[in-house]
Amino acid sequence: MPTKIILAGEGGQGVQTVAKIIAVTAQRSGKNSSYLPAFGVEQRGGVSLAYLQISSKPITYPRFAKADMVVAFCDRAIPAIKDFLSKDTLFIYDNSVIKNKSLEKIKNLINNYLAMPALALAKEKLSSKVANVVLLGGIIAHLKEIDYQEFEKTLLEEFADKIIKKPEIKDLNLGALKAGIEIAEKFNKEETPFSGIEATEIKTNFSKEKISWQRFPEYCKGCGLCIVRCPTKALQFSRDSGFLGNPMPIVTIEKCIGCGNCMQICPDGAIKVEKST
Amino acid sequence: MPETALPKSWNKESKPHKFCPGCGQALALKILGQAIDELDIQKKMIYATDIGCSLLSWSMFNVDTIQTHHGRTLPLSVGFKKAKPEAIVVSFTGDGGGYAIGAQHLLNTAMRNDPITVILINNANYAMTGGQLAPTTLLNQKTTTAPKGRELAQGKPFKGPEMLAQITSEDAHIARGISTNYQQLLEMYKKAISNQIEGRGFSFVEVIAMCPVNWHTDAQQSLDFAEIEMAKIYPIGELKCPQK
Amino acid sequence: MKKEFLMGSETIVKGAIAAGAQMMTGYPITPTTEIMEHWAEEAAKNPALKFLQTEDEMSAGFAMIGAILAGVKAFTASAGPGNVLMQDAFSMAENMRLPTVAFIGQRGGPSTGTVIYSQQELNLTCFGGNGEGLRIVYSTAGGQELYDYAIKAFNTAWKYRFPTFVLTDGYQNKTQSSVEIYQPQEKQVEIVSPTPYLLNPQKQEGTFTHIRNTYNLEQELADVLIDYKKHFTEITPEILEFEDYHTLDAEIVIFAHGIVAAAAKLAVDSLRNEGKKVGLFRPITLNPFPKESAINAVTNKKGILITESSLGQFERMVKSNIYPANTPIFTLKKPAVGIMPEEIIEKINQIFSEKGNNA
Repeated sequence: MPTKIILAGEGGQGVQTVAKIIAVTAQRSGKNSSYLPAFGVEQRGGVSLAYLQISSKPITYPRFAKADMVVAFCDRAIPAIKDFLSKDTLFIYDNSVIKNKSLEKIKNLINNYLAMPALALAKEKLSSKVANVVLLGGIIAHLKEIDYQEFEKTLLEEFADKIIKKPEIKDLNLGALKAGIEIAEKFNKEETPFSGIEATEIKTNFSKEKISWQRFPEYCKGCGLCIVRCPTKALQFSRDSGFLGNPMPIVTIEKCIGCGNCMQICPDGAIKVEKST
Repeated sequence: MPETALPKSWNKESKPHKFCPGCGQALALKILGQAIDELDIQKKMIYATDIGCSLLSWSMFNVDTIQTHHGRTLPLSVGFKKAKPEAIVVSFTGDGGGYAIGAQHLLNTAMRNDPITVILINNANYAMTGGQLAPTTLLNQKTTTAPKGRELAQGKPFKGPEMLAQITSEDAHIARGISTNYQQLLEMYKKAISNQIEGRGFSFVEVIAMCPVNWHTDAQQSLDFAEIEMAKIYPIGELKCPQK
Repeated sequence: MKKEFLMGSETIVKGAIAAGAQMMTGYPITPTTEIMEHWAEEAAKNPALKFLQTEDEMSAGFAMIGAILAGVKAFTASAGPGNVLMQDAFSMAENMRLPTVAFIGQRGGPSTGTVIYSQQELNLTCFGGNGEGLRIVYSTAGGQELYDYAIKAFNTAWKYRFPTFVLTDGYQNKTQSSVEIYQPQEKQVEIVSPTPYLLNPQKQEGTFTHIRNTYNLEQELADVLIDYKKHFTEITPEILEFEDYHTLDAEIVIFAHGIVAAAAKLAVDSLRNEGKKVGLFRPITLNPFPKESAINAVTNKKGILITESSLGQFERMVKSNIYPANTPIFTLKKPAVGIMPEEIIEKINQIFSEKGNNA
């Protein structure tokens, strides 16, 4: 029987990259593998699924109904993966991203889980962009039949172009992979309950005399256009995340002149600036 | 809940919308929402949208909306307008829908001076399918189907408004804007739609828009490519404005 | 009762007007051009009738859809390669349950083929596009039927909201004959009123209509289609039409549709005069197909003769619907060529003398 893995996350969270790296590595290690990306019509912004199978025998059908491993990158992945859970499924999720409210909906279906603070760890020690590679580490820790070195090799090949431009990307990715494996190996259900984060209040309103600056995490995709458009460099990325998990901008209100450039350039309606006269 | 920064005519149920981070098309639609608000036409208009990334806008507005087939948004709009002349018809399409698969419709609609407003997004590639060559791709610009960059043998970057200015009557409104210039684009939209409302006929606004995901650019690079590289080839401004 | 001597295309236009049609879109193609020309003439006289000559058939199809969304009874007419291009629009009409009405004048194919006659657009008209064939298709046999079914097509389309077709050919469109022109009310036919899909003044204040043809998830689309199919099946008994001509005591039953059925009818009359027990089963609705009636008509017969101006499009349709009937099947198939009653008579006589070849 093949090992069946389903991965789900926001488009742009790197779900497909993780699936591809595993599939390619399995193939190279003499296994058969099958990887089917499945997403909606949008390029980014929808829930993106990846069907992955690894087997010693040829794999003829790319889809499946129940998975041995389910990997959830975000809250919106939960409804999408629910039907793939069985009593033997290992559920891997980012407990620094997924909210308790979402986990509540599948609690009864989970027997075996691995909670990984992937985004929090990546943000703190590496870069938020490698959170997916932390989760990759968690997955491959359970794929013992494939040599770890092979995963490293594929990972570096995947980012070869980017590494040429920014050499530090190599260490960020390798660091994330190792961190992920370490979390998985040390994981103990007794110490880490099946839980996520509580919905936290993000400071959204900033104001000074005559100027009010507001941000809307429920709309912000973290594109950064506002930051580069600010004439006084009053904006920068913050540690707070928008709904996709990407960093959100924050204002240094003292520097804000209330010109509204950031509001006008925002494709998502995630910033509001008001200036009273 | 704090009051939002969304245009009043945006459908809040479908937000956040499904366009990529930093998408210039979404920005063009935000400004269109503002134009709809300022002209107060939400209940008098229909919005018809094409296939391509434009399909993601099928529930963008609190406006009666029809999503059509690729390239066929203009004929549908023309049929609607003919059947119900008092309705304001705004057609939204990409450079694939308008300049390639539906080019014959754009040409003939313009030639007949059909009284509809067409907004066309020029992001120099086919974005929904992952960044292929478009009629608007710049020379030397790399796409998935022009991996070495567009060569002259694949045609010169296509200048829609310039062509339309040649073939339309003097009553037509033809302009090219850019999604990064809020006020200017807002005025272009309002003039174009007013041209229809006032019964002069066809109106067209091409909008230069960023596509960071397929251009593989960060925020600053996206703005530079749109505002400098693209604007060099595709000059921004009004080509025909009967209201002047 | 008013009898007029009319060309088929003109009869269609008069039927459409009687049905309350308000707008036509189209691009000229033989043998349906005269439908456009007659409509254009009517529209020039009557400002309530609108006309749009478009740049191609895709545009004609989608402009028709635009008008329908505005709540106007719009229609189009096309043929052959034009019908191919129009499938783009019909596919969307199927996806959105839009009451499009199209008069298809079959001409020879594939490709540009010949310009007047065939029965080769059965597959395309009934099942064209990348969908499930949730369409209603009437196959007429010329003359009076063009008027009757023009009226019926608009009513069916607007009542049930499935794309509706009247399948004709150049023989029917170009033949001039005597037709009874009546107002539908005279025959107790109630005309179904159109309602707008967009900017409907009846809709609740502050609500907006969003119509799409693209779905995100496999199941999302499947649910829509299963629901459509359920409706289609439910309304099928109300829509089904066929002509049963002496099949009850017949030993051999001819299957033919459209104008070929008119030839077959003459053949049946002639053979019956000679004392030969022959009947005709003619489906008028090709989609949905009168399956149960067709099965009844073939049960315990000596043989079936399927005849058509195509190399088997109708044959395949009949066979799949009467399966598992084990009545021997004979065929007379001539692609894009008219079939004379004499040829049918000859074929039947061969079958009676057991010289006919099984298909």
